[in-house]
Amino acid sequence: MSDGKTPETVSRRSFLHACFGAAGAMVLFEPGEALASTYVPGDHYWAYVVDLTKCIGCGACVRACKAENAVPDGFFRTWVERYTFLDDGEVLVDSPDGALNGFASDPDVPPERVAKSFFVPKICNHCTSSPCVQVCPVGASYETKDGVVLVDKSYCIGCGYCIQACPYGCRFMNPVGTADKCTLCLHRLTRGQAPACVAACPVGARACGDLKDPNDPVRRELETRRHGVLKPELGTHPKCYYLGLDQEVL
Amino acid sequence: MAPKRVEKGGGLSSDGPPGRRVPGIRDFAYSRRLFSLVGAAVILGLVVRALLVPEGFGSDGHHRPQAPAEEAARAPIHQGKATCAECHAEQFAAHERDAHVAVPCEDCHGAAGEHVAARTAKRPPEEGRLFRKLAQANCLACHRQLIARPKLFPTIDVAAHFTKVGVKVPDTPCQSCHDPHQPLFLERPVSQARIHPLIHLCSDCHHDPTVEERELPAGHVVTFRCGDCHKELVADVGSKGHKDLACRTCHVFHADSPFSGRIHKNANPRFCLLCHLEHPFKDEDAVPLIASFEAHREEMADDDADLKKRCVDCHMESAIHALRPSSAPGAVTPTPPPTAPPTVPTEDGPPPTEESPPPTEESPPPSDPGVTP
Repeated sequence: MSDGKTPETVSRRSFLHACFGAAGAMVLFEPGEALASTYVPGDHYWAYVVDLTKCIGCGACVRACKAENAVPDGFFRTWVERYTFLDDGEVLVDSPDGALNGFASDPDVPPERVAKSFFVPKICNHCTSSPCVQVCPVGASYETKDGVVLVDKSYCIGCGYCIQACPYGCRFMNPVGTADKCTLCLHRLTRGQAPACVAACPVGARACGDLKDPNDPVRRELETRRHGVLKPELGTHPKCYYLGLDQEVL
Repeated sequence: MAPKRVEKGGGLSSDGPPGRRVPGIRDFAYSRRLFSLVGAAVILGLVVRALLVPEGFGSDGHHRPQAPAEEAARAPIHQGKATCAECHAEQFAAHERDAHVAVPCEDCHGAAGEHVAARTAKRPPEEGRLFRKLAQANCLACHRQLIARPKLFPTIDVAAHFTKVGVKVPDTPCQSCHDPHQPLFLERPVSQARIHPLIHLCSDCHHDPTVEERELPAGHVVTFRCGDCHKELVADVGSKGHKDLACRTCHVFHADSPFSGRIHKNANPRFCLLCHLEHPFKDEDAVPLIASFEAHREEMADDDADLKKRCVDCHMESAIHALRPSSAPGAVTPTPPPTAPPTVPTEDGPPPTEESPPPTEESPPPSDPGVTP
C-alpha cells in the first residue's frame, strides 16, 4: 500500500467500483458477445441437414467438434460412419475411431464385390419428441425454445437413463459423471456463427439453418429437395435431415 | 343399570371396559401425534424441495431457466478464416484463389482459439502456436482414393501417383511439390519442378466420365495449358494435319526422366503406325494410311541415309509442328496473376499467362509460405 501517496480524489470505494465495472464490461462485451445479447431464442428454430452425396469422409468435422467442445478421448459428439454394400446384400458399417483421423483404407473386401458405398456423418438429431428428455428424472435434459436438446451439466445426477433412451446412440457419459451430447454449438449459433462441424466441412456436406427464417438456405433446401430422417418409425421427429439417405442407414 | 357414559369423544368405543379413557374420533389428543408427524414431513419436504429445486425451475420449461444462457456463454474456440486473414494476409490471399478456398484454415492448422488468445495477450509466440503437420495424412484425409468417396471428388492412390511423377521415397510429404496454400500449383518454377505443368485432364483427378464436358466451376484453380508456355508450337500444330490431337496424344509428361515432354516410344515409327498403318477398318479419307512402313521408306528414299529415317524425320514440319521453335519452354511461376479468371483447360486456349524469365540454377527455392510466425 502506498499510504498517503495515493491522490485523495480516488477513494477506495470508487476505485473498486471502477475495477468491478471494467471487469464486468470485459466479461459482457467480449468479441461476439454483442450478438449473443441480441439473440432471442424464441425467434429461431434450428435444423441440421447432411448431404450424403457430398460427404468425403475426411473427418474434419469430428476433429473440429473435439477441439471446439473439449470432448474427452474415446467419446464423440459427432462421428462419421462408412456404409459398404456388397453384391450379395451384406452391409458393412465401420467408423474407425469415429473417423477422427479419416479413413485409412477401403474395407477389407474385394473392390469388385462392392455394390455401393458412402459415408454417413452422425450427430444428435435434436428430436422434437426426444426420448432422452422424457426419461430424465430431474429435468437436466431439456429442449430449448430454439429447438436444441441440451444437458444441464450442473443439474445432471449422472443416472444414465437418457443414454439408454437415445435410439441413435448420440449421448455418452462424460468421465466427470454427467451425461454429455452435442449442443449444436449453441454458443456459436447465438453469436451468428455456424456450428464447428458445419464450419469445418470442406465440401459443404453439413449445414445448420433456422426453420423460422423463410429465406434461410437450409429451410429452402428442405422445402425443395428430397430428404429423410433416421428411424422415422420411432416417432421422435428428428431435426437432423439427410439428403441422399439410403433405407439401410440406421 | 346405569348406562355407561362415555367421558369424551364418540360412542364407537362404548363397549370398552369401564374406567378406561377411550379415545374417539374427536379426540385430538390421539390424532395430534399423527398430524404433527405428517405436518413435520410436509414442512421438511418443502424445505428440502426449496433447497434442492433451483430458483425459477419450470418457469421456462421443465429445466433451470438459466441453463441455456449458461451453455451459450462459452467462448468459441474456432475463430474463422477472417480472423486468420488479419495477420496472415499473404497466405490468405493465395488460398482464396485456389480450389481449396472452401477448406477453412483451421481444418489443417487446428483450432486457433489459443493461438489468437496468446497473440492478443502478447504472450510468447510458442504458447499459441498452431500445429503444422507436413505429413501426407493431412492431405490424404480428403484425397486418399476410397471406394466410398464421391466419384467427382479428386482422389489419388499415393503409390500410383508417385510412380507417375517419379517420386522414389514413399513418405515424401505432398508439400515437397505442392504449395500448401495453393496445392494445385507447384512450389517451384517449372524448370525445377518434378511435375510438368501441362497438368492433367479433368478426368485425371475427377473420376467421372462426363467431367471433361463440364464447365469449370467458379473458384476452380487456374489450370495450365500447353499454349501458356509453348504458344508458337500450339499455334503451329493447330494449322497442320495433326490439329485435332491433344498434345498428350503424342507427348509423355510427368516423368522425372530425360523423356519428359518427348514423343511416345521415342518417336519410334511403330507409334505413328498405330494410326497410319493400313487396316480394313480404317478410313483413308480420315487418316493417310500406308501399307508398310518399310515399303514406304524404300519408295521415298534417295540414298542410304534416308533408309534409316523415322516418320518424324520427314513429316515433322509439314504435318505436325515446326521443330526448335523460337519459343523454347519458359518458366511459369507457380502463382497465377491475381485477377486471372478460372479458365477452361483446353490445350489451345486463350493467350498464355505471364511468363517469367527462366530461373538460374542457383536461384534459391521460394520461401515456404506455410510457415506460421
